[in-house]
Amino acid sequence: MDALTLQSLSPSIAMSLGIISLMIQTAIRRNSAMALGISLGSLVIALWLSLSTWPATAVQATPLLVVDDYARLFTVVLVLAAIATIIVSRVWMLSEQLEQHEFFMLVLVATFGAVVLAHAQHFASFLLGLEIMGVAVYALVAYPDRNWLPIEAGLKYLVLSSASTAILLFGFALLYTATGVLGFKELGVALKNVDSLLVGTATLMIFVALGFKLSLVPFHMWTPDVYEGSPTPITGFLATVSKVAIFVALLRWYHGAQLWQQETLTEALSWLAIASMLVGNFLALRQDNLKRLLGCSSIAHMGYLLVALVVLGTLNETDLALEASVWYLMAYTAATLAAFSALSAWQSRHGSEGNCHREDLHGMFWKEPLIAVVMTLALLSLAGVPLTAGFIAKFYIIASGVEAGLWPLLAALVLGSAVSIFYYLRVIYALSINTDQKAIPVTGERHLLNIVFLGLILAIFVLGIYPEPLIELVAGVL
Amino acid sequence: MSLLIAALLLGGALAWLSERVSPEMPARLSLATLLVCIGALWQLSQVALTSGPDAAGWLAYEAHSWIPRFGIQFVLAMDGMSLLLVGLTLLLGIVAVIASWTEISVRPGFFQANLLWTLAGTVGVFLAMDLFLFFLFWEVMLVPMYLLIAIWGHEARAPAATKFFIFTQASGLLMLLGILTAAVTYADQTGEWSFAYMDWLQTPLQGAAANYVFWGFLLAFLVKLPAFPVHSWLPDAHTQAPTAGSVILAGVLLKTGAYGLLRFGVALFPDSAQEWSTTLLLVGVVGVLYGAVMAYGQRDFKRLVAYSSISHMGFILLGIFAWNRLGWSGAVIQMVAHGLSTAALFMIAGALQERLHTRALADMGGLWHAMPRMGAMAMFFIIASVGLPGLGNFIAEFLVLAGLWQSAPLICAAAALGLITGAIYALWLLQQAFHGPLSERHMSLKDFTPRDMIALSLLAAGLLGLGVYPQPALDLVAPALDTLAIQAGG
Repeated sequence: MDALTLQSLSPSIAMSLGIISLMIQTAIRRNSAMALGISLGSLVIALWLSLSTWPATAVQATPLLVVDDYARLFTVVLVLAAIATIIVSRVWMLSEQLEQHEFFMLVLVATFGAVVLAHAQHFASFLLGLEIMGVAVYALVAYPDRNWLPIEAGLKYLVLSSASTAILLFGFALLYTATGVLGFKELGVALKNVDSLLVGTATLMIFVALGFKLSLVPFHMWTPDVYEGSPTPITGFLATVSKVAIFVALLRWYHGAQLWQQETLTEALSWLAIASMLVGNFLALRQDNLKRLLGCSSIAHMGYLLVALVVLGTLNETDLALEASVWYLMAYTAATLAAFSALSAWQSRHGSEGNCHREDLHGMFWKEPLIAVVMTLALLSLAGVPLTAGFIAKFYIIASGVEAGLWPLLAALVLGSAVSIFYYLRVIYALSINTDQKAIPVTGERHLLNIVFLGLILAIFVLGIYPEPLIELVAGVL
Repeated sequence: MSLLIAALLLGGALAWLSERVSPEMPARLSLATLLVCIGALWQLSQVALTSGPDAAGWLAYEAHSWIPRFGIQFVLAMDGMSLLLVGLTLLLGIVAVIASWTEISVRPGFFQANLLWTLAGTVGVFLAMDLFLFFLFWEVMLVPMYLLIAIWGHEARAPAATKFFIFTQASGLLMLLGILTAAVTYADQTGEWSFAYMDWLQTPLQGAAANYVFWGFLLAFLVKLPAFPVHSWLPDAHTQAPTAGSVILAGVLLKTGAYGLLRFGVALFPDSAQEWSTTLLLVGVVGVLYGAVMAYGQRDFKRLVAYSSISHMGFILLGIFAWNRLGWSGAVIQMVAHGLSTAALFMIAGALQERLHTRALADMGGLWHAMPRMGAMAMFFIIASVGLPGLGNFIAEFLVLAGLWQSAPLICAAAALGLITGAIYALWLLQQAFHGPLSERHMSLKDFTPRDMIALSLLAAGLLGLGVYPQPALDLVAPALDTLAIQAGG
């Protein structure tokens, strides 16, 4: 392993060092402020390292991992999301008086797994990243030990997720049988010569398994329950870091192995996309609980993302669709994270977990203007209203869809978006209702939390108003 | 021009912050902002009108690079039509601020901020000459308007605000789809992305694609106008909105639909527009008559005025698809005249609601005796909206009907019926609210203050000027309509 490889992997190394030092610190002396410092410190160092050692060209760090613009970009996104999650969780855990060390450690481990996924160019690293992340997330979902809801959610997620991982492994094995290779690029070459039922079955199984993890219809059943049961900051983590990392790896595989050449797969994906967009949005319409609502709407958002994959399969010119999916992932991360952070901050101040029905949000505009602004922006961005990042992302998706002439998909997208406006607006309206209750005094790291909020507001706004710098960065990233 | 929009946005933000100083401060600040903007617009138009239009026919033009990846530019341009409508927007903005002076007690700063932001979006819509930018402003108008209705509206505000947002947003998505289809086609033809209006005029869409894109635009504009049968958001939104909201909605926001039809619908897709013109004329005439009949059936002051808007906006649709210069001039004058008269009527309705705490016509009657100033003003504007010769609305409707007579005499005859039905509901409104016996409990109502009178007199003067001597306004929009006639090939 030469110096360049080592340098290019330094962000991941910093994160693993962070995990180890957190373990040692916990063994010597439990101090939650120090644990917070170590975990934030290692993430910030990882962030700084990924920005300062951005490689000029792609570096093959072992056959398993590749460090290129794409991996770096998403390392930054994932690490930033993890930082936000840790700060938001800190406020929540202080108000609930929970043990914090193990929690921070689990978040670091899960983020590490996600970063590995962003670098994966081989089925082995794909699976490793997936499992490192998955195992930590199961524990995070069930972390609060005082009531049954998180445990139920954790168990549900654990069982379904491991079942889907088993299917995934089976798919990998079948592909290996058919082609004899495991690297994404090599697979692309090998698939050109092999065209058998085995390959079809294998890709189908892999997509079914990933469909579970990304909660695509018809594999979406667990989503609202797990979203509702998990502690709010972790729901945000699950919805962003975990799903985004999986989609990032999926996209690299799909692109690297040139899977779009399989017409049946493209067709199957477009049905999945249509079903996810429609079912997700219509399910969300019926939810009164904000976490369930966001869960259902995330099904729809994954459907929008699939549109870009289908475009990849339909067009020969792939730039626009790739840019569209990268953009969508980033806008979705910012908005979803903002929504869950705001909700968590609100819950920490106004009573315990579980209070996230619409009527629990009444009066937020008057009691906590900052939180309400973050929430409103997040929902508007998810709805795709102009001046937010979500609009540019949706613009990209629609543009790529139009270019490929996918009218049925676009019809479902427009219908779904129109429906989604209704339920997002209902929440925004609830925020504006005037009530007389007094706010509860703030506990915990108020300043850090405010920095997170300002960062999220800036991200949503700046990406929405002046997207050009990021557009240039994203162009040709994969 | 970009400074104009920036000033409105900034003024809104300042008004929001100034809430902490005193509850009256935000209204004062936003009034000051609007006055400054009107001064700036005056200055701009004087300079532009003396130096004459540029080669492309714009009085003022500015372009900045924005998102080169898609060839999106920040292009603002103004011709006579835009100038007239921007002026109307700012004028009605002042009226709206005055109408909200005493009405709004909860969060006045945030209210004024939303008001100014809505105006900024509307001014942007009238000036944007890049379709991406146009769409952006089109949507930006919505969010603050939604908040105006949802937070400060009347009893049934939640469904009204939601309905308003969903109707406009869903049709807006179709327009976005249309815009993107046109842009992708343009990129295929020329090899470069562009959303600029002037570029699209050079390379018109052909065939079936043009038809689909035209319908995407058309639906968005018809919903906003609104035309029958996509009008159902309007009565609710107008009735539930606070006075200032209704003034802006009826006075300006509806006009963006009409403006869009003329500027983009007709100019970019002349063939498709002409192909569908008979259908759209029928839609227009149904709107005129349906609005009038429904207005007569209303028992709520604001709802009645709202339905009358549907009727009057039908005339605009008729004027546009009469497909000649007369009709188009009529449509533009109608935009201004309807804006002025309806804004005034909503202001009066708001004043009544503030004093009587009801909008039901049954609870009114004889109010002239209690409030002679308000009564006189109401009479003036009701008669104006009937279309009394000598006032702006008459000129507008006359031009529309004259234009329509040349292209579709039968439809013209049917539309003329709208004038009669219009007189029936309008006079009925006046009679119910202001004539008849005055009830005991309404004896000591407060009449309009000088501030209200100034605002209404401004509107009255505008209508009178437009009615007695419409030539300056017609001259102002003439070059724009000439260009349009060339683009439409007729």
